[in-house]
Amino acid sequence: VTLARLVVRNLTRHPVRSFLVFAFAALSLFVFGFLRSVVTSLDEAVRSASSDRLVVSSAVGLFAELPASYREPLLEVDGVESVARWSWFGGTYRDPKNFFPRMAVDLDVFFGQYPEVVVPEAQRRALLEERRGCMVGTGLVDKFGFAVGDTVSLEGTLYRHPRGLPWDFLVRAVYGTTNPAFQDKGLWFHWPYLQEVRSADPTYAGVPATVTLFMVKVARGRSIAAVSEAIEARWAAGPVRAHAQTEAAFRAERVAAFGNVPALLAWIGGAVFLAMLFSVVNAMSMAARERAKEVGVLKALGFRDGTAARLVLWESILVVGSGGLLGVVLSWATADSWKVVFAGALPNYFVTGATVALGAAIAVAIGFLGGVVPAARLARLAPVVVLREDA
Amino acid sequence: VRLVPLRYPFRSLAVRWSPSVFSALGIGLTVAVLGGVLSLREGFRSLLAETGREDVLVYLRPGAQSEGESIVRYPTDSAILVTRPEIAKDATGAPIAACESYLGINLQKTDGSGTTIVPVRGVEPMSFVIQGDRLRVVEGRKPTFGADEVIVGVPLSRRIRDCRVGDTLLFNVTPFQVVGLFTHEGSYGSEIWGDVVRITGATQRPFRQRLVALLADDHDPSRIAAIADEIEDDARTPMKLQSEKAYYAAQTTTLGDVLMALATILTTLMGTAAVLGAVNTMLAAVGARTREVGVLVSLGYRGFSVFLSFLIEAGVIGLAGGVLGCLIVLPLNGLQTGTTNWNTFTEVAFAFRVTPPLLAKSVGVAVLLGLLGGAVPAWRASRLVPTAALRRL
Repeated sequence: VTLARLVVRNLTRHPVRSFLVFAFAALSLFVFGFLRSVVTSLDEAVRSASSDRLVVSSAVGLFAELPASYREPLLEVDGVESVARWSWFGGTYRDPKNFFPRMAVDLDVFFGQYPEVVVPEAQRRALLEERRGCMVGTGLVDKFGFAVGDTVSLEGTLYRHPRGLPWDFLVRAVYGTTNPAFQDKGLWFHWPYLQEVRSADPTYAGVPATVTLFMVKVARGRSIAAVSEAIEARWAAGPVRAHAQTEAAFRAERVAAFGNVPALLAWIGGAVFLAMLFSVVNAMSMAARERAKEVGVLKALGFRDGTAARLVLWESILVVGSGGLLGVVLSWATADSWKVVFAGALPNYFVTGATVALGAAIAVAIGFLGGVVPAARLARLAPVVVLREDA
Repeated sequence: VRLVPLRYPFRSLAVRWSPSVFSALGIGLTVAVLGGVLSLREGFRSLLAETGREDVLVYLRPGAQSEGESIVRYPTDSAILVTRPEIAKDATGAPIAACESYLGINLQKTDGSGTTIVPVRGVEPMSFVIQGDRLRVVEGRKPTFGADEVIVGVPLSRRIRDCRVGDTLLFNVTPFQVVGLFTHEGSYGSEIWGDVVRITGATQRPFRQRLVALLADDHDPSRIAAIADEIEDDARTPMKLQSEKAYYAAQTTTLGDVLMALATILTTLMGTAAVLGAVNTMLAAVGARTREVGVLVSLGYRGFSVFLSFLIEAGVIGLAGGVLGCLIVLPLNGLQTGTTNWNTFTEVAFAFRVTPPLLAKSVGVAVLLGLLGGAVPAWRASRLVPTAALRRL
């Protein structure tokens, strides 16, 4: 009991220093929470992908496009339940910096394939009935204030509207998602509408319609591997080779495109913790030096070496641990604001419970490591020597 | 005002070396992170900046932000475009212009980590004339037009499988033979080049992506903007015209912005942490030297001199940290890395670049962090009353 009281008293003796160490720990762990969440969010997008959806794209390259006419043969492949056409629309909303995915898809099929996308029934019906209708995610509603009934104007980049006019889409539905890896910052509209406008453009006269990819749902109980093999075999000799992969594999490729970013973030995280450790060792050494005399008194009174040393150790763990916990919890609490900052780059950013727990554990460990060296020095102090010194 | 001799802060640092070193280390690590991220950004920026020339014209479809989004119909659009007066002509009177295709193609990486998207450019003979000496074939030869042959940028030949002279690459269902390796200081250096007719045929692409041309001698690069306005509204072939330099400069934005944001966020957070560490150190320094300060003031030094002396001490800690941070960052210079060019979704290979201005900036930030950390403790020291300070044991 006395020991605990001494620890608390010591904490308040140098309130400024205790606060500085506390704040330092909070900041460092905040950065840690942020960096680790970037990496886990990328991984999560891969892990939570559905296992019954296949992405069929051109084997040539992501933007090489497949003929839209592949849809009917795809539907005939044994084990295929449904096929949706997807075309990456691109486009610019006011400023090229306002990046979010805009995709033309077969919406009726899409809803059957994506149970994690939640739309009120009335809005769903209104969307399917409106040729120029679109649905936007709750994330876009938060960012741009879109609402059902609004018109969203996009300037075409890949696809130009006749006479260079903007594309006007009518917001008919707002979707939410039950899977954080399915991003809520998308704009989805009818693939047939894209094709309708495209075929009226003289540029495309005589050019067959194409899609970026086909989303294929595999019937329950059928082997994914067998279905993808059958699809690839169907067009092995051309005209354009098709590549079928699970949604997870497709997303993994997109994550791999980040190159060395995860490794880079890990290095930065290491530097942050090293800096934090230095600071804690520094502060606790200062505390220990100032208290040498007191410790001498305690020892002279009969306290054991370990007890006196533990005072400093506990102080270190308490300050750094609580600061770190605050920091990592703050990074969790502010996740939604970061999401806005990342916009298109990392739409699924979120902080996992494991990150919070790991961060708190690391903070305690650093508190221990930072306190143990000065504490050991105090334990070795001979009371007579300290008490004799007059400074 | 009599200043405290400079020897005082330096000697003090040496006496209390362990907290000084720890503070410097903290600042050094912060600066190292800043420098590392900035050198990554610098490397990417300079790669694209070196690609572009002011006297090379790039025509894209209006609205397109990159080649990946652009469409140029061949020969419907290109035949009209090549007659434009701003395009230079060679000795035979032929326009020095090339209608090129651009497509990211899936290829296997050599390290076995799967596929990546490599930019493949379909070129015309004039493409080589436009690039001139900047493109050098260092092994093998240029591709023969009319044949299924390609040349590969040197950095790619190390990262991508089957990219050595004599190897065969499969584009869709057509095998292309690698007949040469080339270098280019700019981002063309991490591309694959081949005959545009063969490549668009093999990949079943109905369109090409851009027209690139040399600016005529009697046109000044500063007039490109005016010509661009005129072409943008052209009734037959509206086009977006930029100099090659302006085009590639705009390509750096996406990744450049992300890296700059990352550097700013991290430096702000870590910098604040480093300042807290420095405040701690300097507060303890002032606390431990209360009596010394009392002596200084009794000797007639003014509060301001004392303030300055402690501030210098903090600044020196910052400077040491800055130098340390730079030493950590320097070995990164030249380190090769790869990332995705988010404007075209293709892989680009480039190196970290640690430049003198970048180092100067890092050291500047470090000194600033030290000074910020030292300001409050130094002010405290300057306010000590000599009698009280001397009385304190």
